[in-house]
Amino acid sequence: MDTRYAYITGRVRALEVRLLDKLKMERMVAATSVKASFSELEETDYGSYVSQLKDINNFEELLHDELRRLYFFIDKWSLNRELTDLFRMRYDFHNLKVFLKNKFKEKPLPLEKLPFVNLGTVDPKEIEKAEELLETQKKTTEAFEKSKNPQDIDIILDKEYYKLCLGKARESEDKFVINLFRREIDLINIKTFFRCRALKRDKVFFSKVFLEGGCLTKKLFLEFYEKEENAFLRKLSFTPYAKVIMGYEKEGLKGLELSCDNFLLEYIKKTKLVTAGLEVLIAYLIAKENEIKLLRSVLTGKISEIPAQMIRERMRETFI
Amino acid sequence: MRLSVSPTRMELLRLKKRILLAQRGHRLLKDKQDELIKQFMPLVKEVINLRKEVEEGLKKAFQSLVIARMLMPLEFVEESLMWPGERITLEVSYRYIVGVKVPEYEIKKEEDIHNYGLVTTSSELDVALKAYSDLLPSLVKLASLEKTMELLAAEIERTRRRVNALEYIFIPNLEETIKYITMKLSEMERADLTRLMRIKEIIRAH
Repeated sequence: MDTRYAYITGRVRALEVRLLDKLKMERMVAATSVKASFSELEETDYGSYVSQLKDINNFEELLHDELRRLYFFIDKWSLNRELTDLFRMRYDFHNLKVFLKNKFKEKPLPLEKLPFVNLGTVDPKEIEKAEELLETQKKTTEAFEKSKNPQDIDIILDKEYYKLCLGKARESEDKFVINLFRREIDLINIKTFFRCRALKRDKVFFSKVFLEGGCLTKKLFLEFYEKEENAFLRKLSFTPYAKVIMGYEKEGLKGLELSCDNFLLEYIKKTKLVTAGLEVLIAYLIAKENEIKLLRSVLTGKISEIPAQMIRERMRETFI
Repeated sequence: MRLSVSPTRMELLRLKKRILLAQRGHRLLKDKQDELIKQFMPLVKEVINLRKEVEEGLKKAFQSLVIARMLMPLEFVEESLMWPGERITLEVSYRYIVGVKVPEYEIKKEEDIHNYGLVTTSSELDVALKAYSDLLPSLVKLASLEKTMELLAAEIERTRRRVNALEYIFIPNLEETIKYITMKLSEMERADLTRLMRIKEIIRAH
């Protein structure tokens, strides 16, 4: 127990109960029209922001603003910014990918037309000069100049991001965060394993995209890469990821992604038993991000007139 | 409508030659029209089926893309797709159907369309891109068939107009003119004969 977080833990507990629950999400999915879905959303904490929305098609702005408020809240109360900033840094890495891909393109676009996300720790337009990313940028540039393959930019930056996350988590010796990132890495590797096979990529490619640092070793994945799927599934069913595998067996890649997200949520739900500590704040951050992800799914689906059943099939669990 | 020609034997011979030529032309154009229609009808059926198939495929592909969009922020989707991996070359060649020059498109794909990182993207994006990529050859084939159909339809219309012009205007006009000249010449012949008979009568009376 970290008593320094006693006050904020209490505050987070009060905020947690205001998170959208499964029932609310279901009501939004079952709504007969987009307008009805937004009316459901208006009854929640998002209400005042929904009413300010001029065009419902721009609901992404609303979600961005909510994320901005969330990160502001976390930054304000976190006593270990090194760790909590890692969650925002995924946007820095995204912005760096965008910047580098644009830089190496034959006809680069002006910066204002690029799909930057203004939620990271660095201003997207200044991403090139960000000191903490200079080394990563250099490494990525060198790799790209060697291969001329833009996919390498994504691969290297994704690997660097998780390396940084795990490194910082280990430095802080926070077991919750270390395990969180290790689990996340394992889940990404499992998903990548099946996706690479579905895309008919070879072992060398999988080896290249594999993220180091998880509990499951590269050797294990490579051993089963060219073997029958069932052998690998059997092997994983004796690991903590048995539940995840069930999702794949049931509904393929779609089910796997769903069960991976639910698995991580299950992990952070354990913090409900923590009296006080940074993990409560981080769990709230992930729960809120998950809620925003769910809202994006539902609202995009409703606006594009995707059948309710198809939206429901992809609905992740909620924190409460 | 009768042509404005002088009713002479020379003109009659010329018109008879013209009508023979017009009838031959009419027969040939009629054959061409029949052949064009013969080629056109199965093409229409093929286009209808292919269009249905393509529209269905596009609907499914679009739905997959929306589903991928549901699971990923817009900026992440745009980042994944900002550098296309697949290189597509479209080659155009031509062939002739009953004298109509129609295009044929051939599509060549190089490299892989899934040219993005796998960590921040959803497998639904793979499904969507595959659906679009698989659909592209059919879409190009549909474009080629629809252009062929358009050109054939224009040619059928042109040929039909010619056939009709020959059948209902030109040949009847020639026939009417020939009839007029024949009658005119017969009339002249009868007039000459009557005149001769009258002269003969006058001479005989003296």
